[in-house]
Amino acid sequence: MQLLLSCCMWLLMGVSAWAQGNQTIKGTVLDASTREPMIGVSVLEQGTSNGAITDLDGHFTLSNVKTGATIQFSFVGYKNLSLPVAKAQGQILLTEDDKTLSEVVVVGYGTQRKVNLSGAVSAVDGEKLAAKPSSNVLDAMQGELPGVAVLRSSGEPGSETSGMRIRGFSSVNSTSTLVLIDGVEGDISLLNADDIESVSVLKDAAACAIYGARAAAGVVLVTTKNGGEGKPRINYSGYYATNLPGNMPKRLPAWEEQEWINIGRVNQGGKPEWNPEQSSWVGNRNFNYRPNNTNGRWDEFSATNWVDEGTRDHSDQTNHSLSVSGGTKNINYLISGNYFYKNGMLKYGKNDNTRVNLHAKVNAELNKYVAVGVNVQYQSKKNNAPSAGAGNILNNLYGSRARQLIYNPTEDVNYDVNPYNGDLQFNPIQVMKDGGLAETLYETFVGKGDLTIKNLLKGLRVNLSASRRAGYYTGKTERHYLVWYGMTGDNVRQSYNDPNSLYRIKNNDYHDLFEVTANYEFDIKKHNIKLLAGTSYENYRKDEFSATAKNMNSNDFYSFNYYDAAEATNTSLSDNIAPWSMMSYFGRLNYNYADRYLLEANIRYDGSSRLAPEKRWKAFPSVSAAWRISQENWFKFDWVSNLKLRASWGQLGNGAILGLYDYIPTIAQSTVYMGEKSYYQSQLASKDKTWETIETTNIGIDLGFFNSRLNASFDYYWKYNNDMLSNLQLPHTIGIGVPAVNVGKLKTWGWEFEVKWNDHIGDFSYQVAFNISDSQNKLMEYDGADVISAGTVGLLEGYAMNTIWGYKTDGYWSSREEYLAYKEANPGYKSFSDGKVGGGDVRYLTLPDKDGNTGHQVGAGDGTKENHGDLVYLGNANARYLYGMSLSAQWKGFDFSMMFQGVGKRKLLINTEAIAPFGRTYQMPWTIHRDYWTEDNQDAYWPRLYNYNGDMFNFQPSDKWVQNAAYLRLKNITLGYTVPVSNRIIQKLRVYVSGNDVWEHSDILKVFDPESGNNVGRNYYPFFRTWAFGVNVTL
Amino acid sequence: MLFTGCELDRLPETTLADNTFWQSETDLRGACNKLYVDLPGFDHDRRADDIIGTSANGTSSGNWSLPSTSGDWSNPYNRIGVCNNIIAKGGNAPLTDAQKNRWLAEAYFFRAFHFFDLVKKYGDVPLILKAFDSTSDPDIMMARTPREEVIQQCYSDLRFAEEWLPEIDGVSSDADWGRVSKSAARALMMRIGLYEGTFSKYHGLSSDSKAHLKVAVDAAERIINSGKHALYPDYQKLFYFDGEGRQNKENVFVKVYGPNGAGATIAHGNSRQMENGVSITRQAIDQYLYTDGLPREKSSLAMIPETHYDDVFENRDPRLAMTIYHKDEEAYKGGYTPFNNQHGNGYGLKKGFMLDEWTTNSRETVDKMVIRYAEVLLSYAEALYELNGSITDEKLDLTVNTVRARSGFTARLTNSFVQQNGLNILDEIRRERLVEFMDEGLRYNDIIRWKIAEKVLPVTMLGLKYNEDDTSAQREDLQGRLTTEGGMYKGKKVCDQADIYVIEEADTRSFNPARDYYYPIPTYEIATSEGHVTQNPGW
Repeated sequence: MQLLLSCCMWLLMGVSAWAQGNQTIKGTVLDASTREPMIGVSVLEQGTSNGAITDLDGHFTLSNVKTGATIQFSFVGYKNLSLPVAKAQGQILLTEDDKTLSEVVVVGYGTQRKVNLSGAVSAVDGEKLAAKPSSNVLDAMQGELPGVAVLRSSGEPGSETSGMRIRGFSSVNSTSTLVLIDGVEGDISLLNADDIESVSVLKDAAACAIYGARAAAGVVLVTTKNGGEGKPRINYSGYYATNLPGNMPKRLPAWEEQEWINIGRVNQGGKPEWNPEQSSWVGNRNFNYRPNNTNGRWDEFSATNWVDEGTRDHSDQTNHSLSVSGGTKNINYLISGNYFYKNGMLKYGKNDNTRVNLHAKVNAELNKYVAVGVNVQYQSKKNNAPSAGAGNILNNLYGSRARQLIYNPTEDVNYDVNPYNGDLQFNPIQVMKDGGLAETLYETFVGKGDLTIKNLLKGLRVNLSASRRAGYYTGKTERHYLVWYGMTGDNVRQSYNDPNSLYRIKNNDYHDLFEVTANYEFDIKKHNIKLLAGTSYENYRKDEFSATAKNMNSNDFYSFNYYDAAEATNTSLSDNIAPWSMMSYFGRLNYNYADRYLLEANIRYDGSSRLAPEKRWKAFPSVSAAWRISQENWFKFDWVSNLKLRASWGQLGNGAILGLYDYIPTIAQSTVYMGEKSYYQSQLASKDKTWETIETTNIGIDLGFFNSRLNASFDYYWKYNNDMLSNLQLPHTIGIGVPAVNVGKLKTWGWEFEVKWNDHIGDFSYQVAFNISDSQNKLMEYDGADVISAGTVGLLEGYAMNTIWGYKTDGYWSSREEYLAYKEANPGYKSFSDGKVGGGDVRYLTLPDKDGNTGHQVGAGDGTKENHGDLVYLGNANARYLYGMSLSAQWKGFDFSMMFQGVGKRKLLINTEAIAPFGRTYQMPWTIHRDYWTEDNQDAYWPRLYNYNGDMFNFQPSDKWVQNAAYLRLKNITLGYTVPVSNRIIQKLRVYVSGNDVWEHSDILKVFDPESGNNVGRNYYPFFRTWAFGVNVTL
Repeated sequence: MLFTGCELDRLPETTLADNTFWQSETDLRGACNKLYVDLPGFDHDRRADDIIGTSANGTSSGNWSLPSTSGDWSNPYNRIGVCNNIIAKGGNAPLTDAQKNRWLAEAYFFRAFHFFDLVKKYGDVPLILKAFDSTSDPDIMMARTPREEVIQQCYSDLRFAEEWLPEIDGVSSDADWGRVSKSAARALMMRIGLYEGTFSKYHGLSSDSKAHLKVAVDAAERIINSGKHALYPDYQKLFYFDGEGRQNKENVFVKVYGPNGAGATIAHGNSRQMENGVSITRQAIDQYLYTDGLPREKSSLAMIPETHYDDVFENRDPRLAMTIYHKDEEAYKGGYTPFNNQHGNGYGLKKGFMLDEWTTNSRETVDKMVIRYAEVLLSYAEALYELNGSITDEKLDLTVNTVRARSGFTARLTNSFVQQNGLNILDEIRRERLVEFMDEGLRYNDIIRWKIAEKVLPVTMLGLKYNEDDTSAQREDLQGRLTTEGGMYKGKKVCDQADIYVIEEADTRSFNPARDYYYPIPTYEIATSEGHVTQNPGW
């Protein structure tokens, strides 16, 4: 902060020092075409802060102008104009900047002017992504693009995101978005954000169809930066960030926990765990344990806050990115490197993620006809985590008994062997420290060469490219054996990883792509025609080897050279070679009449090694059209700068679920019989299996107002997966596993809306953008998916995916007597765990059955759509109304931006065991549970305390426990200042502070994040709030 | 065009497939190993009136319902699918007929085994004899084939098996032991013949019951005459590791577990089950003869009432003491105490219980005799009697009396003994099966084929006799579940003495002869066959 202040001081002093002029200029600014005066145009003496704004009549006056100075006129939507002082007077004409109109977006195998797009494409600048201290590029994309849902998993380093979902579900089966980085398939979360020029997301069939069989889940095209003409330019950007855990459970003080345990046991019908005197010792600093000679254990009365003991209150994240670029007219280059590091919240052991990127790109125009390009990338991602799993350790920290000691008393006979205590539960602190590490390292090398031949014929351009992405994965998991004894040292209380083991996995893979495309563009009067034809061949092969050895010779040294090889079951080896190949032909026609009528048609013909030869090839067509009404001669609304209607239709394939050899009968290994292997075919091969085909229709409108200061677009789409692979319900007489076949049907529909406003008030310019999208789906046909059960039902014919079903409740029973009286009055009524129900237990309602009778046991009926008993529909776990909102403003050297992101509607069920206090004897309650039912607190949120022991009758899926997971989150807030240094060395220096995920509003229980997955459990790893302090320097 | 050299064929390199498998005898043997992995083994069958669990068995008590899906239906079909695949693809292996058929014979054997399993439960069942290669094959939805046709197919499969399988001496090595042999094929043929012959006779089916009985008699004679088999001298040790292997000539068809020790991949929890889950009913105990060869209701040696727990063993067929525990006898965890067990309040099972196996915690590996020579002898006797309406003393000596004598039970069953004592020779042969094969899984099928289930199932299920001195259980705890003077319980005579524990009351049990002789066909199978498969009557 001090730095910032002193910079400001320096700036002010500097400004006053330079503001020594000797001239006053006056003039009027007019629109070049309409000759109307322009209000609010900024007039600035370049290199100074000396400026003025035009008034209502377009007049301006600027005094103290130095002789020889340059005056700059700027206005949003108009081209900047710089004039020497002598000419910057009198009538000044500004011409409209058609930059918005000339904006170009990257589409499949080329670029397209945004105004001429007829398909649905959204794009975001790399700059925007790089500006956030996100854990990876995918994370940074959240909320930026309508219809693009980024799936976040947790805050765990290296496991923050699990992918993206474009325009809702395309299939009930897995789908994967095709991500092409400079045309080569890759993983977007491995990229260096500073390398990215732009990210285009192709959303509808028209935009995607050129990618055919793999495009059903959308296509993401990442274009990296190129070097530019000029002297070498060196960019550095870096930050240090501190991560603070977001929503997470807080533990109770030990004495309170003990009191609750006692109450819970009494309510269960038993005795308190400890009598009042013993209970009073819990948390007494001076009395933590005493020997118990009857059971050979310590009686423990400690007050351990496991969460505090085992987690940090903050962790670190750093990012350094350096690039050098430059070039001449004919050749340019860019070289960059990036280092990213983030560690986690576990206090001991390693729990971190390191990413390294190197990138080099050279483009050269050899002559008028030939250009070549080389693009080389290296990416690596290294993760370290406890082999127990960070989530499992957190689960224990959240749940272990507070009265358990961390360390055994020094007089324990076993103290010298293992000082850690594991009497009631295994000791998560020791597991972190000594339980072993899981390391993974993934490295990938990408090399691509391009050759472009052009101008042989006017408008013809032929491109040949070849690329290989080679990946190397290595993983090593050590599971150390830990054992905890009771006081006397002869009774094992807990053990972990028995026997110890070492697992190692290595694979290498490569993915080759050869591609030839030809573009031909010509005009016949006002008819502009562009043709694209291409073909590609892809070849992939992975070779993997993995092995496990158990019973290491030493618990401190893990190598395959040292384990007990005498026992056959201590060794397990496996290998896996996974090849596939694909061949494609594709073509596109673009027709454009006077920038008014636009037509595009695509086709791709794909053949894949995954399918039976006779089913191997399939064509995926699409067609789209647009009408730019605003270009019509009769269109006379000046304030409407753009009005375009779009429509598209097409078919896309999904092959993510296809196996490598689905059409070949393969032989599986079964149980070893008498030392010999046994073999059988477990599943029928399917020669008929083919890609899922998703038919998508999209209609849209693009609008621009006020000289494109306000832009909006709206899209509505619907898609049918008509050949969805579904498990066929066949009689068991078939005698073999039935393969999924193309018989299912899913309908998905939704809309997207985006609006952007940018303007300025004087030299204060600001931008506001808002986007919102919705997607719904309905499982039209899926052979036999008709079972309704309590909880989240993934697949149910006639319903959306992931519907939530549960019981209706009506507060709590006030007493067992009331419950019994109710049963008496409603013969046949019976709640869950009938014998246990008492005051403070959830009152479940029965619904009238087909005879109108409510006197029956609370239950799921037949579990069918016709009779689902007392279960009612409680909502859907799929997020709806995803929105993002950003505000940004720049004033003098300051820049400020805020981005909100959220979900308008979503229901979520938390795992019963996670929220039930004492669901199990090893799952302690949290501070949120303090509002529990007692006779004096009958309106409590939580039921009475009860020692459930696994029978969580108060926590059945019900309207009581379903969570509202809608949220609004301040995704990012950034304040930056560009320090006005102007010297030969430093061209630009900007410092900033930026926060990610710093605030949210949600009604979900405050111990979980609203973005948590369905059925989130106690092994929940909180999301982080990130505060970063960074600098960007350009030399 | 440009990439014409680029191939799109990719074949599995680390997974076996049809084109790389089915080449050698080793492959066929490996495929056949799956048949043994899937062979049902130890199972304390609680469906009849002899073995009872800690809660009522649906089939036994008549409280069973129509399932959506059931392993009773799907498991055999999945196993038949494996057999059909071996027969179809192994049949094309580049081997001589003799090489191939030795292995195909195993698949044929097991196909018959599993179809017989289906017929016993469901009657008519779809007769699937091919390996499907497409989900659109209409035969997947085949209707039920008449049981006679299915049984004839079983005979035919077993004839193939008997022709091509080796004699049992040919599978006596450690590596081969457990594989089916000519003996197993003959024994299964005998079992099917006896089942189908008696079922047809007592249920009045239109099929030729005598022809089936003849199949049984002939098959039994082929085993007996082969000279490959004999009874093991020790009834108790027969069920321990002592009885394993070819050295025990009583083994006809066994499911092999193990290998013994830590690495066991095929294991069972038989002894654990005995401790935790099952016991023998009082009515089964009462079936054991007294040393005079007479049943309880006729013998003067019967102690009624018993004043001590151990009185039940007095003057009894020695097999009783080898089947249930004496009081204080070293049992599951220390001495046996009535009413003090996890397995319920019936008589504690001793036959086959091995403490050292129990301690391995469900990693037990003692082999299970699926068919043993004693069954061949007793089935032979029954089949002869059912076929001819009589049996000679000579044949009784060869069968029933030989089986009795092996356990040291010397009372001889003869035509004249039966006559003198007002007994029925068929009843005595049937009783011999119950006693000899207690808890070996034959009883349920026997009461079904004899059509006596409606008599023996919907009755009071009785347990231990209560004697204060024998147990720590308090009378008050059991009050209300014990019979009173004269074996009365809730106004009805249910046995012949007081203080017998009632495990299940007759009121809670039923057997509907119009329905319960067949299993219900799972609704899923009916629905997915588009109604080609129809439901059994009454369900």
